[in-house]
Amino acid sequence: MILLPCAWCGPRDAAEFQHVGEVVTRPDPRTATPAQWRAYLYLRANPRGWTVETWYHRMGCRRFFKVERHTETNEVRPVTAAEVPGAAAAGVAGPAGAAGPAGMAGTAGTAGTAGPAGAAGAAGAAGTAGASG
Amino acid sequence: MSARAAAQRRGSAPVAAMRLSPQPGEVIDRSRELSFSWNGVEYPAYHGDTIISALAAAGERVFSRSLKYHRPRGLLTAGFHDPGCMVQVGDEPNVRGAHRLVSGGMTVGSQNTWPSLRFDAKGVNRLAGRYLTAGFYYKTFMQPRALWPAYEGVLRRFVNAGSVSPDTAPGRPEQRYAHPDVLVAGGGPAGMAAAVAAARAGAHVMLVEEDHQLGGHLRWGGEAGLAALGELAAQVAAEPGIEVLTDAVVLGRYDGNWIAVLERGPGRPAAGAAAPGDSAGPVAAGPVAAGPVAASPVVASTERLVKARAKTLVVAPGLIERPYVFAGNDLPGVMLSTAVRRLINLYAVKPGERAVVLTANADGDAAVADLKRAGVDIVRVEDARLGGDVVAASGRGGVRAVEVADGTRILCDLLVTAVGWTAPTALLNASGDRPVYSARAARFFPDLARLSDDVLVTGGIAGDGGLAELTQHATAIGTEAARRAARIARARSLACPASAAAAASAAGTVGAVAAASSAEPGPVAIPGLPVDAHPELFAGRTHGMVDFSEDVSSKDLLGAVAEGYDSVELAKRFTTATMGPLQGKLETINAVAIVASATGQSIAETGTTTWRPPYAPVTLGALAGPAHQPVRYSPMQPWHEAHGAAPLVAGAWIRPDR
Amino acid sequence: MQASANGHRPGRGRTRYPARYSAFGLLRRGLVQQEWPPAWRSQPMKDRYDVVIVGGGVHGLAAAYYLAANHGITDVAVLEQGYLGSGGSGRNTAILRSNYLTPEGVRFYDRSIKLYQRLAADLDFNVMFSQRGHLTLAHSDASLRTMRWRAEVNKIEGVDSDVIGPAEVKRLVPFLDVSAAARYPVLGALWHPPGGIIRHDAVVWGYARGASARGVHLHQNTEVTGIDVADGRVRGVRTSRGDIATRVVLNATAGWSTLISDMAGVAMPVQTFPLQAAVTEPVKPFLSTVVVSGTLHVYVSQTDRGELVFGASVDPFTSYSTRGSLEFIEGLAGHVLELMPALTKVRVLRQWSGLCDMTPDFSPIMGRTPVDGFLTDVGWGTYGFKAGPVAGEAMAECIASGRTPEIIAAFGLARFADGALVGEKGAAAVGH
Repeated sequence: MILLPCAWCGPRDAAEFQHVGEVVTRPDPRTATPAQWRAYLYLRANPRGWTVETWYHRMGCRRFFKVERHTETNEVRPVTAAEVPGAAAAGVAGPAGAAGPAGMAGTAGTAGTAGPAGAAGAAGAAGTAGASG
Repeated sequence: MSARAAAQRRGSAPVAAMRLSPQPGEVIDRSRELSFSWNGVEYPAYHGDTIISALAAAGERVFSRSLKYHRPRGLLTAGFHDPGCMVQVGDEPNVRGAHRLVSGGMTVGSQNTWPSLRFDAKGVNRLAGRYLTAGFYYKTFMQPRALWPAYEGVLRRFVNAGSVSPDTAPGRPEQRYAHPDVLVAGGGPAGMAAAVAAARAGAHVMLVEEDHQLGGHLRWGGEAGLAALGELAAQVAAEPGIEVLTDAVVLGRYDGNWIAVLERGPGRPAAGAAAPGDSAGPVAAGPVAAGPVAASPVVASTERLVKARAKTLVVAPGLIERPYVFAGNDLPGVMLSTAVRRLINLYAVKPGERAVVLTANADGDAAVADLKRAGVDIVRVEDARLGGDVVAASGRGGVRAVEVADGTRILCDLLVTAVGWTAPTALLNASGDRPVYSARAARFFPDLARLSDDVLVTGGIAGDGGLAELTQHATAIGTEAARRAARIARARSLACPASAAAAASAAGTVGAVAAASSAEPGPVAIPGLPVDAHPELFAGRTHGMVDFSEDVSSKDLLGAVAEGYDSVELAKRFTTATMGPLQGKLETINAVAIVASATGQSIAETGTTTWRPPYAPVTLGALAGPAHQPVRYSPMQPWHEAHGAAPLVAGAWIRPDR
Repeated sequence: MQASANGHRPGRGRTRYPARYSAFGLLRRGLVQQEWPPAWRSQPMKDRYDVVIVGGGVHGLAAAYYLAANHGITDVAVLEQGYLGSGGSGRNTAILRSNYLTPEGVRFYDRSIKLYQRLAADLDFNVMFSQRGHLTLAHSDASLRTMRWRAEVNKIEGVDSDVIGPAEVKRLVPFLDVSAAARYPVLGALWHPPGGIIRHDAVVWGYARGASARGVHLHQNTEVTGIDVADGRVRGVRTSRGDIATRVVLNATAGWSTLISDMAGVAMPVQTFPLQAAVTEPVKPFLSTVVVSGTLHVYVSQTDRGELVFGASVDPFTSYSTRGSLEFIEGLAGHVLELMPALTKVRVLRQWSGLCDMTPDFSPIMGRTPVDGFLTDVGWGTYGFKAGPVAGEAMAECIASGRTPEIIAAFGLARFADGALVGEKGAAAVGH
């Protein structure tokens, strides 16, 4: 299967993970209408292309983290620090883009730039992932 | 008459009447004689013979009957993918007889022939051919509905295949994981050169070759070919970083360069069976050899899966020769040029006595030379580059006469064709490639721009040229593959910063080299390869077989197009062309060309069907791997045992009973 | 023609085919070497149609056929981006059954089976429906209870299903390991005689032939690139071969359903997952029923050509890839050998995959949408092929009458906003 970049365990086969799904914003259950709540539960973008999604390292460090994946080629690239809150606080420095195609090569094309996504992603995702899990 | 018939007439066992004197580069070991049985009769063989080469050496020409019309079939390619050479070995159905090595005492039988291969009762279907066109069953058997199960029963009786026995011992061989930096698919000269170059650049290389030896077409390339082969083989052997797997085939390239390799050879015991020097292990999951495996007289072929996460993949599968479509092209005695060159050079077998050759390229010309050397009487050479052509072949049970372009009818027992090549792009398609047709070269080429960064191509599939040009290209590709592997290793560890330190220390040679060097080497310049002109020869002037396994003729394809199944996919599904055991390797391009001509479109516009894994068939046992049955004990188990509790099996748990 | 269970109007006369198929026809044309006329006609694309159906698979073609045959609506175009049946209809493992869990589900799929039984005669095309029986194995007490529940619901709805024990399972499938030593012992099974397999391509071709003979236009290699919606109603579609003005668009796609619905501005609770399948080389017939194991997530049948066809559940993550994975055939092989260990030497020849639109309640999304004139017949997950005829019949009724037929009332898009999901997971989760 594809390799997923778990910041803590390194690149691991996707069979070790559980696919949690598209990152969706959870409305406040106290104020959401039933229609809004059900839209959050059931509606998804289902894009044919790049999507940001959450994975859970079930057979490993058991952290939730986000990646960006192309749903047709299954190319995977870490979500950049700018997209994940708390990256600066985690203090993990990322290399410049000179590393070349840094993502887990899928089936076509080149991947994006490397980023200190894993650790920061885990820290950031922990806040929101629990609900969507 | 066949050697067997002659022998039976004499009242003696078959002899290898068609065996030639020792050939340079032959792979048989004449000092080790074996014997095996074919349809109940004992045949001689040498160690290194395949089932079919041994039978061909004894003069046998008919090995099976076709699916629908039960036409007699013989050798076409003499390689793994040979439609007429599927046989049953013991309880193993659908064995590729032109690839499987003979082992002493083997019991081989023809499939689906009754009462015998010679006098097959269903041969009567041939007379019904004009009525039983492809897809005929869609037009009938509809009424009355209650009779459909009975019709179905009749259709199922005509299944052309081997049988499964409920007593087959469950065999669950071990699987293996590998993490090569570079995996080279194809052990011909290009693959070998690429592997050597990658290893010299510091990569761990896995080199996978489908045949029993490395070398590809160099093995029948005469003195020059054998000398080049020796040189390359020495280079491969000198590199400790290359793991060579022969009689192994890359089944598929999956996302992320997750590659399945199937090792086929005999010689390793099934999971759990004792090997010399081992202490007795758990009960074998498969057949246990009596005594040390090395001395066992009959070693069943065990397939074993190797799962490799390669950083880069080099695809060097060469080219597959294509059959020509004309009346009688499926008769025993009609062969491709690679078949005769394999028979003569590898197995020292004379393919026939009197030959007509249709050649459109240098390999066909070389086949003529090989045939002459083997003492075959070359009655006529039709050069397609000068307007030569074969119109039809005829004969009962085998080729007896061939009609050529100028109308002459020539008596012969061997017809050799060399009309062109098919690019086996399976692994590339899985990597995002959409091959492009070149009318100049009359074949498809990979579209390099669409390839994933971690997949490279070299060898005949990428272009033409002499051995020197191809080797130079392959060397550049191998070096570049190693470079990209190092870059990927570096990038992966950087993408997971918390584990980067661990990754760097655990990485192999490439990782260490990558970590050590601060400056990244630039991309290697890959030289271009020429594309030679080749006449476009797919179908001749008469209707012939396109899919030998499925008994689909060019007439069937034209009929399908006329009925509205006018794309290659619809025509394929309606006629079942390319849906047989070869999965299109010999059929697809001819089918595409015929559909294109019927619809008035070009081959490029028509496109092809999709290559899908596995590239070669793989047993369920090899895929499944060992069946690990976990057993679970609670922490109190020692106490239970000490107090004499009887075990209660509760699913995977062992609990105390009483 | 008999009245349907829903009281649909009988067909308006038999379809007139350009040349009826028959054994006599084969004989005559074989004798004089005459070709058959095309199974369906190729027509130039018009710039307006009464109804445009997006998707040339069994659902779209069946809807077109029943619109013409049952309702006399023939100004219909079916737009297919590839070749007819290139989507799920050409990639499924062709298993038909009606042994579902809920009463609505059973009624729905039973209607489909009844239509499939008549299909060869109706379409003058041998679709080769082999009702050889369908066996769902139970490997645990809980599973056996669910089988019993399904059997009872089936029986109440008049569908033949029953629970049988290991001995009878062994009699039906001699190669099956029903011993206690099996890792997943067979405790019993749900035996469903009306289930079986069919030639999936033939169903597509048969419906195409029938629809075309009645005047429907079939346009292959035609990709829909946009849907024009104004004032909350459909005005037309844009395609790779030109624009079409129309008031009715039916989304009968799979794998692309959200892409098409997005064009009309309709959001749907669908996620696309690959569903893989594999086929072996032919071996002499030894398996005469369909065998499914819920626990092992595997189903297997043997075609009349002798090949074993296998499938399992959808891939563990969403994707639009049809490339297939090694994990799939490894896992499948392991599970098949748990059931039938003697098949260890049978060889897998080819693996492929199709795209399944999964909904939260394992049931389709059928009928009208908030956009006037835009209807859907999507969300069919892993169970779309067996529902082709009944779905087509119902959608044709929906389009022709403007009302939602009772048989699909539970499958409306509005159920998600209303929280009225259907509970078919027990029978649809391993869809076959």
